[in-house]
Amino acid sequence: MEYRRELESFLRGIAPRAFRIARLGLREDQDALDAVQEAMIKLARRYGDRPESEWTPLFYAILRNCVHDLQRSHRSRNSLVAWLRRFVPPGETESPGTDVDAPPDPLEQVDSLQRLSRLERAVARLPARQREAFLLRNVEDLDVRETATAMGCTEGSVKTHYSRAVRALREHLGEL
Amino acid sequence: MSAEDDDAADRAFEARARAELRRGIDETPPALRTKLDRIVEQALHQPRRPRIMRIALPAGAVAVIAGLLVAQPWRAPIAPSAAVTDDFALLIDADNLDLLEQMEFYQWLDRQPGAHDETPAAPGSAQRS
Repeated sequence: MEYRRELESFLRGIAPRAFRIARLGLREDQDALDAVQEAMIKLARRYGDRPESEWTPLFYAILRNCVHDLQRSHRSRNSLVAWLRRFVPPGETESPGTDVDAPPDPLEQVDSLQRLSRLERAVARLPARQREAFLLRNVEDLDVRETATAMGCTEGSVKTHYSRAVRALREHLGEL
Repeated sequence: MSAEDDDAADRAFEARARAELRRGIDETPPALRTKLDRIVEQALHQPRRPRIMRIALPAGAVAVIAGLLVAQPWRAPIAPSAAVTDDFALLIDADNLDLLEQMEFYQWLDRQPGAHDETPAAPGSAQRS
């Protein structure tokens, strides 16, 4: 019972941060929710009896795999859709109100939200490994060792990806 | 900009980016929080896979793979080629042993002086001359 309370507290605490990280990798709310759900279920079923200190890197290692699986399935689906579109006459495929034509979200007109939005867009455009290192360090506050465990790579690799991410974001966003 | 200045600028940027990202997380909309809470509930109600299964399944898989690698049932036993078995049968046949002895005799005969004369010498005649 004690285990359950601890796990519940852990999952409730990590959920919004995990969602934000998954969202930046997948760019869709529903996909991010699916990834978070799958990662939480796997953690609870398989690793709930591991020491609590191991949960965070384990959870992010699982979430990372879930995000990759979804990205792969999207790529396959997009390839299929692109192939099918070759058989549809031009002008019949665009649905009204795509992202490009959508009116700006009123909330994004607020300065602080715009700043966050710019940052998130830039982070989302980083190469996957750099994005993961940057988010795990800054959103989840993992140290280099924990980040390496979550990413399944060496600590040296984490440091390289992280510093490249910071430089790329600084160059793109200036002083934020 | 020196390397130290650059590092300092990196650290300052990180701090601002971290603050922005965390503010975004703190401001997660209530509707989204509700969905996340529901996901947490679902995860907590999942039956845990017993520890023995987590150990036994990978161990069983490793044992099966090791067994297959040793037994290699997909490889057919190597049958000796027909030519090899034919030669072997020829050698062990009793009649053919006689033939071998005769061959040795004829080879000896061939080496004797006058072997290539018109009238071949009879066996033993070489010793007599």
